[in-house]
Amino acid sequence: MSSDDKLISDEHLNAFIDNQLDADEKSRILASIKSDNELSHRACELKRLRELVQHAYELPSVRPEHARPSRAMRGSLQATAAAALLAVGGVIGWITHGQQYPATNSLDVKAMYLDEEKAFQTARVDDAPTIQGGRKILLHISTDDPQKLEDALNTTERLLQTYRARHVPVELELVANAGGLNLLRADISPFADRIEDLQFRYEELTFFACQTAINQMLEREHRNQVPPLLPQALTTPNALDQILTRLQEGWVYISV
Amino acid sequence: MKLVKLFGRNQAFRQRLEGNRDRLFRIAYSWCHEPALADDLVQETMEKALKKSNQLRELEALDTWLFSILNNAWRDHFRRSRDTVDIDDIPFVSDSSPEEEGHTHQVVTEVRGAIATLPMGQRQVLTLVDLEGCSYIEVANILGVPVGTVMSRLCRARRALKDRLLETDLMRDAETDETPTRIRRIK
Repeated sequence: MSSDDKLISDEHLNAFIDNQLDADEKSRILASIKSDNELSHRACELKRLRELVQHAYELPSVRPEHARPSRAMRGSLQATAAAALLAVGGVIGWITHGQQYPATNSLDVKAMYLDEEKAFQTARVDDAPTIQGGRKILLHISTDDPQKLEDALNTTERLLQTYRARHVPVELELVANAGGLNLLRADISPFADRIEDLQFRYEELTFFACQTAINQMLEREHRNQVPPLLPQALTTPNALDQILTRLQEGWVYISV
Repeated sequence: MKLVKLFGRNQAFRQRLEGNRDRLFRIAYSWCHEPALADDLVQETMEKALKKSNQLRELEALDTWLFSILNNAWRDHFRRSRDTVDIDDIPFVSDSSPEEEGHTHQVVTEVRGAIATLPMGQRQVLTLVDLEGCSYIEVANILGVPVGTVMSRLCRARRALKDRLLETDLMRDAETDETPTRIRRIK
């Protein structure tokens, strides 16, 4: 632990993480973090804790307004109106359900997830666990086979369409590494327009390119310059790490 | 002209109030971990906000104002149920267990369980900062405590969470579990 590290109290470091310091103080702590692994580790732990808290309450349990009337809604008039509305809604829902979601429209996509005992399980994506009322799905593409690339986009679109139609919140990441990088390379991707269109229509979709795979490609092809990625693509340091982290966080994993 | 302005402001106020319902519920839920109670607290907050809307001078201050009303509603709830104990000193035991929340993911359950063990004062500061991104000064205003208290509560809360969460097997596994070979192709 350096002398700077000792000078920076936990309160101070918290304020830094929470962006509560002025520019000078921030610069001082940034400089210390750069030269002090211990301090850097402390800062990372604090950031990680914040992310865990945010993750734990991303979408809290559904408000129980229909399960238990709140104080403001108590009263016979409201109850009668609610019952009538429920009945009408139920009938309409019953009639339209068959049209909207015929039995053949279930998402027959195999997905993997970690159960409570941290054992890997596979199931249809629809049967995989729902987290906090919404779905979090990671699609992984690692081949340059154009047919597989197209499959990845088709699966992505189908999942997003279906969950949107069902009003189920969804967060979907498409992670590309190895040959799958071709999907997100601006110079050779055969699906640039489609990706732009998908991103435009679905903000809950994120594309990630694996930085490790990009570095390996540069080495393999003896190139100095990083190939341009599509503007919709973000990078993740390592696809495998991303997948493992997401599995730990309860996401379901689909390999295309 | 004044009437039109007033009407416009009321409309904007109501819209923003309704738009804040889910955020209020999230914070209320993170404090009490009871969906029904959280819903009641939010409803009470919305009612009070509507009644006292003339007290809000700037719409920009709506968020802080709403959270302080929520905090008052929460404290009132406690006063009604526990007259003799200081709300800030109550150590909460975990009100959820893996068995009860079998459908909930382990990480979420553990983090919520850890937060549930924090004294209420620390829990409120932590959730307002982490979930709502409130500044320390805003939190101080919402809870009616000095900024120094906000900082020390936050610090103690994060130390406690670190001890509970980052030292557990779960997090160690997440950091060290080198199991790429266990991933198998599934389609």
